[in-house]
Amino acid sequence: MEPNLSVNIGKLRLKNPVLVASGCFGYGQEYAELIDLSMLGGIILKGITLKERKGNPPPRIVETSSGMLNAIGLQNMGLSRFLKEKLPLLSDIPTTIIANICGETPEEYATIARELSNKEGIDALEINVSCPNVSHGGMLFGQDMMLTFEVVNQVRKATTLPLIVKLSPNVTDIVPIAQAAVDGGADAISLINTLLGMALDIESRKPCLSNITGGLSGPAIKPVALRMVRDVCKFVTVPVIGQGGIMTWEDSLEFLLVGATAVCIGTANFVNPKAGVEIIEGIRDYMKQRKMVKMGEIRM
Amino acid sequence: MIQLSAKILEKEEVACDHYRLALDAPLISKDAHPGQFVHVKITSQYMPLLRRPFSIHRINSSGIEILFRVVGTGTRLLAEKRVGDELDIIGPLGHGFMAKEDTFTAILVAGGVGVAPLFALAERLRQFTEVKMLIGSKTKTGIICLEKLEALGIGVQVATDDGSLGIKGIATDLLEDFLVTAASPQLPIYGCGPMPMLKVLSEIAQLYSSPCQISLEANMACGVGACLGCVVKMVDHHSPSHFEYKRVCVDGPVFDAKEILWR
Ligand SMILES: Cc1cc2nc3c(=O)[nH]c(=O)nc-3n(C[C@H](O)[C@H](O)[C@H](O)COP(=O)(O)OP(=O)(O)OC[C@H]3O[C@@H](n4cnc5c(N)ncnc54)[C@H](O)[C@@H]3O)c2cc1C
Ligand SMILES: Cc1cc2nc3c(=O)[nH]c(=O)nc-3n(C[C@H](O)[C@H](O)[C@H](O)COP(=O)(O)O)c2cc1C
Ligand code: FES
Repeated sequence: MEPNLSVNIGKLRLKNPVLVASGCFGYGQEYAELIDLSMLGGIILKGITLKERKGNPPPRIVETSSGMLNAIGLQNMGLSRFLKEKLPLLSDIPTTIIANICGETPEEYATIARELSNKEGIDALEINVSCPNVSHGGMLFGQDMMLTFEVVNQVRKATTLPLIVKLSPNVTDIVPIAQAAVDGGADAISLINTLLGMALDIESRKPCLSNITGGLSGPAIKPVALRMVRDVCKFVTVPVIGQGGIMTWEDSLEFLLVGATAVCIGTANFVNPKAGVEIIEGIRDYMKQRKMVKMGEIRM
Repeated sequence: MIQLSAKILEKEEVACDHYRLALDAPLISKDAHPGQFVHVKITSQYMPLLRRPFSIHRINSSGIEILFRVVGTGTRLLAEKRVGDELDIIGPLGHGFMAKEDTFTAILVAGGVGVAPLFALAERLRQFTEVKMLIGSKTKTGIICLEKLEALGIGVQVATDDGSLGIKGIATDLLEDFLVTAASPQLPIYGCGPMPMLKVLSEIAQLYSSPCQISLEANMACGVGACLGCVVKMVDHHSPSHFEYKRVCVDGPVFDAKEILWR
């Protein structure tokens, strides 16, 4: 029997458990010539803020051992231009679309959430309380239980869209923060966002990034991500979306084995735009070989 | 834009640490323009992890050529590839040069391996106009493609920092000398090379009211406009801050020199 790859994230149904991560897939169209977007379980859009953000000065990215550091600084056109210029293109993409939102105050998160509700083309929201590259908001919320609760709670009141809360690994204990997000009304948790790091150029004797620090992503962070995803899966009752360093279907299975309901592919898209599609095929073959018919059977 | 596995048809060490690879990629070359680039996955391992961008050096019916200098891990591994090996490449990417066909002379100014994309442009432009190529490098071993350009009937002048070939000086010295004596004003200039050279180039172009297009480099991840990692600071008259960040990979790599906010 052909395995059924669909999964439920709260009331959101994904045709398969493979999403592409925020900031790593633009607004979808960037990759339309290279892959069949309809194959993906869903696309999480580049982070949206209330006002336009120019982002950090270059250099913004640098490669490190089996990974990369980025300090984009949430460059985006802001909510109103997003609604005008990007939203109309999204309803043409035949898969689930999730908007990633970031604010400087809980009220700002709620405002963006309200504006994105009841709009054709947006199926769910991912609340980014974990961006390490902005000086206000972002990760500062995700490092504090009370603030995480406050942000999620305000957004919950502003929208009926399914809510995914994206957590930062840059904390001492991620479990209480995940629980605070659930208490605030999260339908799902996604983790991990990037790990704060830095790199130096010993010739110029300066940091490689103009922002000095950046977020580490790619295969280098997978073991950390996996450990944190397992911790959160054991504790919370809502579905978990695992990410951090997934390059292959084998990597994604490790996350599914420890209890993730879905996975998210970030940096791998840069290396191989077909990564997401190949991972879906890999999961399907793995299930077929083991005569599994639904996703729930993978979890160990 | 397409992702494909391209066989290496030819490999040549054109100079010390400089290699030329001919790639079997007709599906890329049929849409390619001078100034565009390909994004190359050098190894299936995770070191280096990201693709590396290389300008399209020549365009023909069987595929494209790239010409590169060994500067680090990725280019060193690329230099070890053999004829017959396959490379995972994405291309053609970005906006190339807008070739002005209605002028008498086009001036191409290259610094070091900046010759790579200008060669493709020279091959295109020489069908319509006279092409003048000015090349600069630290020393004579860094002056590449000289004979090939001359064989195409392109007038080449050379400058080296140490005077080991051509004049002792830099490529932009050659440009000033040429423009001072040029019969007609506002000749179009096309440039590729290190940032300090391009900055001087754009200042000279402005002085002589020459239209000037230059090809920029930046660290890249996606190469397709998705990650916003490769930006450069550009003039934006509509924005209150008068600047905006543009992506080298899709808005460039070739830009109008007037648009760039130099540091
Ligand atoms: C659009 C575009 C077109 C390019 N076309 C060509 C080309 O035709 N031929 C060619 O030889 N190179 C070209 N480059 C530069 C080339 O991409 C880099 O040299 C290459 O990525 C270096 O990889 P690496 O792993 O060997 O070096 P790394 O190990 O990544 O870096 C080694 C050293 O090289 C420096 N370096 C890395 N990238 C660049 C860069 N983009 N420019 C200058 N220095 C760099 C680093 O700062 C470091 O000091 C192009 C770059 C861009 C953005
Ligand atoms: C260039 C870049 C930009 C990113 N932008 C965002 C963003 O806007 N919002 C967000 O929540 N996460 C952002 N991320 C984090 C990714 O979505 C992902 O969580 C992280 O990179 C870990 O996964 P990976 O190792 O598979 O890349 C970004 C990551 C990178 C590399
Ligand atoms: S390299 Fe990703 S936007 Fe240019």
